[in-house]
Amino acid sequence: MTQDDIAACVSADNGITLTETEARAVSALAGDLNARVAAGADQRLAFDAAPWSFSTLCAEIAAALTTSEKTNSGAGE
Amino acid sequence: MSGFFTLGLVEMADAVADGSVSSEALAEEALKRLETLGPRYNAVMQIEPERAREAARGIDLARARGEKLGPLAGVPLAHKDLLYRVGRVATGGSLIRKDFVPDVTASVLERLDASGALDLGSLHLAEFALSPTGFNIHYGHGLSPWNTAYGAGGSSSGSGAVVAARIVPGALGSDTGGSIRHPSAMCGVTGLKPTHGLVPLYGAMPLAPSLDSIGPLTRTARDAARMMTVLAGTDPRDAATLPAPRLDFEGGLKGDLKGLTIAVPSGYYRELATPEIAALMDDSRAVLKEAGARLIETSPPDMALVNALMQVVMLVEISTLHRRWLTERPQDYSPQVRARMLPGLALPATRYAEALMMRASVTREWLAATIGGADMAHIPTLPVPVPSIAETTAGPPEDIAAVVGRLAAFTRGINYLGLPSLSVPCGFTANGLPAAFQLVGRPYAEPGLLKAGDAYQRRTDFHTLLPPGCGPLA
Repeated sequence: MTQDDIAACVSADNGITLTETEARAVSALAGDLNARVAAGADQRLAFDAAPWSFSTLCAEIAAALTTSEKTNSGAGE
Repeated sequence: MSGFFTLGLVEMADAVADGSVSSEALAEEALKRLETLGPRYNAVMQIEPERAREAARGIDLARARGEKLGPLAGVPLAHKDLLYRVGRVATGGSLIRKDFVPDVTASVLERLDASGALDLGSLHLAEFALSPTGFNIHYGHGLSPWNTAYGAGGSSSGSGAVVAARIVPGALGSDTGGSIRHPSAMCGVTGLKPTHGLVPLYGAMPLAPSLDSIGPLTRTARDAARMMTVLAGTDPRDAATLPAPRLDFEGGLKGDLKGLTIAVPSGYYRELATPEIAALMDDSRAVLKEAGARLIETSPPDMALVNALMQVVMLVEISTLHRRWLTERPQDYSPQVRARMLPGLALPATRYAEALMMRASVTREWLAATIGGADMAHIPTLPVPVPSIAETTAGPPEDIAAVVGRLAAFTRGINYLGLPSLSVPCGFTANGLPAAFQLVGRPYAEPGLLKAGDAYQRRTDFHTLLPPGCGPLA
């Protein structure tokens, strides 16, 4: 999208009018991030990969810690 | 009596518990320092002396009656002005919320209250917690106690300054891209950004909730461990905390790192650091090795992707939360903060969803490559010496953006990964300002990070040094 397209979208979707300077900066940063993340997702995001949520990762690690703590305290008793 | 300001947080709690000092005496000295030194560093938003005095009297009475005291009983603290307390204005460093009076109290403040800690008031922060330097156009720049030509770091500027100036021994901050670790590093204090979801966010002003963490800024790792004992744990009002295990933060602080392995990542974390910072990192690793740690070399994955993922999540969440005000009250934002928020409005929903869906796998990838078989990674907190206020406010906007952006190069990715990180002061650069390293671990590795930070501080004195003019008051 061009800088003008982005400014038009931001105005239409969010009711916020960007100055020319703002539109240039938004266009540059959003364009760069958009491309980098899309490329990363193309390489890494698998349709069936699970679990994909960070909370699930934390729950897995927390469960492992709890299990290891129980095992360790059992061994010491 | 006076001179208690030199005591750390645990020392103060111990002194109150054994009766060698009263909570009232601690409160009076801290209030006097807050009123005198606080404005010098533009660290204070609001002081509540009567609340603190009343709580202190209650602690002293409880002790006199032989009641069991909490782990922070009688210790004076103050906190970043984005933690809500019923009836107290919480500005969030903004003009828009300059009169906002919350009707809830933050879970973390409730936990500190229950531990017996005193709350002296609220502290300066960057506008809506969105600056790594302490820049705030509405309330002025947060200033470094080491040299007021330099910022205290942000966004938890006041929290860093009051701990460095020995006004209070601990303060809460929040960290979305480095906002606990930047002021900790720039002010020469210890700061812990916990695992995302270990400390509840309920009652805290959000910046980007998927990345936000609340944590302590203290003089020492030992003091941070005591605060974490009080702060951490499940809260039904914050679902992100639900998996949080019970952790022993203080039990491992024995000074011996035998059996611990620390990864030293090359690539990104070495290439961006200046030679001066790299030399201080080498020195700090030698101390950790002397304490018994084994060091191994590792290599981080593509950090350009990690940083982009973090920015997408942060920008979309910020612009979502601020969209209405950006529309209705654009004039009430500083141009700099508005400019930082706007790009989130131009990112597609698919990029945001991808960033969230990749979070667990990218975190696993980073942990495997950067920490590998070790217990934690050692990296600089800031890649460069602390810049002056002039360097971050004057000149072409592109130059300022480059200087400011570089400050978060080693911190913001850690928030996307949701990992715990302890920032520890490790010396001074040629400009006389502090420098620091980070110890980054797997989720819930806080006890190990604190153990390593404590072992380092038992062998060094950087955390004991007092900024000029922060001794006893006349």
